[in-house]
Formats: sequence, structure tokens, C-alpha cells
Amino acid sequence: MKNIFLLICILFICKSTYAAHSISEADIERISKSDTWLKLLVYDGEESFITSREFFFATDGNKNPTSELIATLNAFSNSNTLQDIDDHPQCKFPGRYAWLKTQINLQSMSIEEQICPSFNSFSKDQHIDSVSLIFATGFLGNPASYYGHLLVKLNTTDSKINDLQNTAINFGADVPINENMALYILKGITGGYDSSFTQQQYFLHAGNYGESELRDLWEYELDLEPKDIEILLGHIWELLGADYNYYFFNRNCAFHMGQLFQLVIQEKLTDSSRLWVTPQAIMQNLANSTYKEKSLIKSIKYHPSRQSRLYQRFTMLTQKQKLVLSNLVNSPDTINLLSLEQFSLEQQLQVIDTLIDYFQFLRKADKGESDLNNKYYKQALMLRYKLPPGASSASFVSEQRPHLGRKPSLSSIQFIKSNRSVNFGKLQLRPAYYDALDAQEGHVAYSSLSMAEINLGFTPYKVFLKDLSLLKIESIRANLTGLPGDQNYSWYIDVGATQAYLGCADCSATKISSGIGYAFQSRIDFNISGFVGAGYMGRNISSENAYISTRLMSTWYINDKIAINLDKEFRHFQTSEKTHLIKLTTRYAWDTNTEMRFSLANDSVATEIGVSLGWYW
Amino acid sequence: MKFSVIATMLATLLAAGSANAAKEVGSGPNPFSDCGIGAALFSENKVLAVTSNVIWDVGSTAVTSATASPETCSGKKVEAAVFILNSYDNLIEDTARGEGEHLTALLNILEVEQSAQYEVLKTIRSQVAEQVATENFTTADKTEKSQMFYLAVVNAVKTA
Repeated sequence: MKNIFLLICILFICKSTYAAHSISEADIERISKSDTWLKLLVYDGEESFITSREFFFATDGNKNPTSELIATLNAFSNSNTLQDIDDHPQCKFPGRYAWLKTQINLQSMSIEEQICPSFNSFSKDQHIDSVSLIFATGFLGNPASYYGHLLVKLNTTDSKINDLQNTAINFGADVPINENMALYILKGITGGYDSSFTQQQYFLHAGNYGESELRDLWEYELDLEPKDIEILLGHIWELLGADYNYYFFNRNCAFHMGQLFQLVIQEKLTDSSRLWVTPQAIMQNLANSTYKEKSLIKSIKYHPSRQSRLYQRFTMLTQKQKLVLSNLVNSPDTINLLSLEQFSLEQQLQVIDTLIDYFQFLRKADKGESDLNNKYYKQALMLRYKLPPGASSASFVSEQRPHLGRKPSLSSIQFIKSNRSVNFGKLQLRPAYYDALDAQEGHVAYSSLSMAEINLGFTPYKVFLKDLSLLKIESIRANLTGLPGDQNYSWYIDVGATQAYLGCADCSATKISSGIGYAFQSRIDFNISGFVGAGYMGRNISSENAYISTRLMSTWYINDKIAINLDKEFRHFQTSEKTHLIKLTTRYAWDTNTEMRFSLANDSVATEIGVSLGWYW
Repeated sequence: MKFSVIATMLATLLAAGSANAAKEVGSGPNPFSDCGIGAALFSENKVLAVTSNVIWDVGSTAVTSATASPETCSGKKVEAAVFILNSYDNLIEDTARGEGEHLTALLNILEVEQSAQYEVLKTIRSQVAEQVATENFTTADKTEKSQMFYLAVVNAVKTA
């Protein structure tokens, strides 16, 4: 009996290793060194990005693609009956299986194809015929969202499934709820979090981004062939839940989404040597990529946020409709059909739909009766229910396609004439992302966002720090309707170091400034914002270096190529010293990725006039 | 394998729901009161737990225990309830307009045939109009309102 048992064990072991033994050395060499195999193992150079042990069959699988290949083939040949067939290696790694069967004859290696219920439910049963990459525009209310975000959506041909029900794939850091903000930022930057791909139904994201965070979504549907979609779906399945280390700047959603698609797209979407990777850069690379000698992009769809829908509805109203809307908003207790009787049914629907979007935009649902906008929202809804069903005609469009924007990083060289010192040059490096003058597609208009922006001054005799912003955000709300409650509260923060005065090269000081204020937006191309703030400017720690300030910022987008910005700040130090800093800058865009700027700066000590040439990369 | 709250719940209960595929919509337990969805999902910071680059992990244990008895809480009904909870405002607005992608998605989840959707929508619209007009519409909490909406939809589907 013991001998029979031993024989069975030997046969089993032999069967398991038979698969690896029946592949030639040449095939092992070819496959284990191929780009696709390394991408399936998520390798970067000599090692995989994946940190979870369960992703590999071989003990050194994260560093040895050959031993991982052999171990994978052996695992695939496992014919043991499992309690749950979904635990079979083929079912856990369908991406590897789908690709390997195109490289070698698995059947001749006694690898029988398994039926994988859960994976089939995820892929085949949903009849997925295309994949979209979705860009969510940036959001200055959450540090993780400053640069935008990327999602994948799996699109089905099943007419009984609405787009909202499609599966969405997200990549993000695994952050505990109620994490302390300082820890959140520190750990996000230094790799303190695990991260992974997860799946949810798309409606959750559409609601979160479009309704809660008021961010537009841009969907780029890709023109991939069915066999590549099959491998991509298999790879997504095997990645779900596998752990990575998350680094906010360069191992983020943008990088790993780019890596995911590089499995089936030959062109490079991202580079692991980059110090920072932004979602918009991935969209730009995607749009510039070809696939099988044609464009990779099949279509681009715009999914406006609640706020964008409100502004577009408002813009499409006639002057008469706007006047009536304004009257209703200012006297919401008069919301009734009588006030709309002068209009046709279609026009009434347009006004009411705008009202619904307006009150939905303003109200705080959890405040109940204490927020009157909830009551007015209900009134607008009831008005709509009184009229016959049928949507008002409204088509939401935007030309702000994220792939059309300029590249994310800026370098410039500037020549500055000063009335107080020698003339000097200035080199600027802004790794990412935008300022009020060059905020474009995918950015927040009139606002600024940059991290680690450095300006170095130089003369023939010295190099000096002109300005350093470790973090600079100017969040300018640019709300268009002018209706009450369409809030334009704005704020700014700037932390780093700078020369305390113009015309000075050896008076570097720590700078910390912040302020809150309000923006006025009377037309789509012009914004003026006023702030009160406080700050610190000094070389040593002393309360004398603290100040309070008032500040005025104004930006005018004259046309596609020219923009002007005026920035005036008045500071009142604790020592009673009063200073001012006024900057007037004009930007001219030569083309998408090249610009010139003309600047005039004046403070209580000096005046500087400058001209710069910049390029985006 | 790590999943968000919604994915865990949906995956578990939708799989369990296949056993109940033959049961009629509207029969069996109410997912809000009997499957514990409202308590499991409704929280200050929202079931929309996926924000930006972050995955919030509220712990699958709470969800599993609150949604016990998968044999009686069918995947289709739970899926509809989750959808309503998360898309309530869009749904009542679509219903007011008599059309919209959220409404279409909900009817698809409940497997309402294309040919029956018009009548179902008409019934839903009149019932929801009454719900919106009630005195306490502004003060009722979202789970309550979502449940009322769910019942209106389920009744409309049953009588179609």
C-alpha cells in the first residue's frame, strides 16, 4: 500500500514538473526575456514593482523571470481538483495564460485549459469590446487630486447594460480613513502606503467625480484589437489586489496606468526614470501614439460635472430667460409655473433644469431644513414634475481636451534689468504644473499649482537663489453665473525661500504666505480676486518678520496666445514697516510648448524689467 | 485579494443572487430593511469611498455581517438598492425629466424589458412626484428616501 502511495506521489510530482521539462531551453530563453513576459510580471529593470508574495509562483519570481516562467508553467499544469476552481493558477493569472498560449503549444505540455467562472464573469460574460482611459480633471481641494486622476473603463456591447454599470478599474493608495493630513502627505510622498488596482462599477466614480468633487471626466476610448483586449483583461484580473508601493510623484496612478497599457501598446507611454509623472502627460502620450499603424484613440467623450452642466445651461439661456432665472433665484419663494408662462414649453424646461442644477450645486443635503437651498431644490424639482416628461435640449461640449494641452514641466531663461543692481539672468525650473497665465486644458483656470519650483539668478560673477516655492497653490474660483451663492471663495499658499527685496542677491529669506479671499468673474476671460492674508518673510526666526497683507490678483486671457496677469500685494510687518510688491506679466505662446513672458516688478526698493523664453517638456 | 466596500458587497451578493434569479422582482426581502444595506453603506464620508487616488478600506467584515443571508437578499435587488443609494439625486432628476442614463441603468439592473420601460417610467414618475411633494422630503434622510424610491420602482415593475 505504501508503495502504491509512493508511486502516486511520484507520478503527481512528475506530472507537475513535466510541463516545464517539455519546453525547450530555447523557448524558455526566448519567452523569459521577452518584453511582454517582463511586463506581465510588472518588472522594472531587474525587479518587479509588485510587492505581494502571492503574485509569484517562484520564491525568486520577483527578480528572476526565468524561474517564474518555469514555476508558472508547472502551476498551470496542476490538474488537482480544487474546492474552488477560481483558485486554479490559470484562473488567477489569465493574462499570463492567454499570452503564453500564443507563444507555445500548452496542450502538448499537458496543460489543460480550465474554465474560470469568476474571470469569465468579469470578462467574457460582460462582452467587453473596448477599453477607455478616463481623465478626471484636477481638483485643488485634495492634495491627492491636484494633478488629476486616471481610470480605466471596460465597455460592453451588451445593450442591456448601461454605461454607468460598466466596470471601472482604479489605481490608488490604500490610506486608512481619517488619516492625519500631515502623515497622509508625508507617507504619500515617501512610499509609506501600499497601493493596488481595484474594480468598482463606473457609476460610483461618475457620482464621486462629477457630483461630489465637481470634476469633469474625459473619456478616451481606445481602438484595441480583440486579442489585445483579451490579454489586457487577463492582466487586469491578475493585478487586482496585488500590492505596489505608492509614491505620489512618480509611482502613482498615471505611471501604473501607463505601464498597464504598455502591455499591448508598443509605444512608450511613460518612463520609469522620470522623477514625476502626471496623468495629463499619459493622456498626451496616448493621443500621440499609434497602434497597428493607426490612431490609438477611437473616440473622445466629455462627461461634464454638475458645475459644468450648470454653467453651460446658464450660458445657453437667452437674456430673457436669464433675467427670469435671476428673479427666481433672488426670490425663490416665487418659484412657480406662472413666472414662466411667457416661455414655450422647451424654454420653460431649460430654465427649470438650470434651476435644478443651480440649487443642487449650492445645497448642503445633510443640513436639511437649516439650508434653505434644500427647500428651493425641492420646489424646482416639483415644478419639473408638473410639466410633461422630456429632457430640455442641452448639449454639453468643451474644447478643453486634456491631450491638447502643453507638456507639464517648464524651463525658462530670463534676462532682467534692475534699477538698483547689475542686470542678471534667471533660470527657472518648474517640474509641474501651471500658473494663472498658462493654466489650460485639464487645469483650474486663473489658478496656480507648483511644487519645488526654483528660480536661480546668475551674473558673470555669482549664482544666487532668486526664488524657491516648495509648494505654491493659488486656488481661484471662477464661477460664472453671478447668481447668489455661486461661491467664489479663493485661497493661496506659498512656502519656500526668496530674496526679501527686488534688486537684491544676498538677502535670501524664508517665505511663508497664505490668504483667503474672493474672486469676481464677470466674463469668461477675465478674473479679479482680492485677498487678506498673513505671512512670514525673514532670514531668522523673529516675530518682527511676520506680517499681514492685502493682495489683488487679476488675469485676463486676451486670446489663445496672449494673457496678462497683475499681482499687487501690500504687507504690514509687526515692526510697522510697510512694503509692497507689484508684478505685471504678459505671456505670449509661440506654440503649444514654447512661450515668451514680459514682466515688470516693483517694490519699495527696486524695479525689475524682464523678458524670458520658456519651453514646456 | 483586496476589494473596496462596494466591490466586496456586490461581488458576494451578486454571486449569491444567481440562486434567486428565478424569483420575481418585488418578492422576497427589502434590501434596505432586510439586507442591512442602509446601515452598512450609509456613512458621513460616503459610500463613494473611492476618492481620487485613494482607496478607502472601511473593512469588509462590517459589510458582510450587515448583509447576511445572501440566499434571501438577491444580487439584483441589492445591486439596485446600492445604485439608488449612490445615485439618488440623479435618479429623481432623471425621473422628473422622464429619461436619463441613471434611470435607464436602474431599469436595466432590474431587467425591465425595453418594451415595458415607458409604462414603468410613467408609474414611477407619478409615485415619485408624490414623494417629492411630501412635507418631510427635505428632512428625511437619504436611506429613507432611497428606500421609498426603491419601493416605487419595484411596485411599478411588478404592475407593468
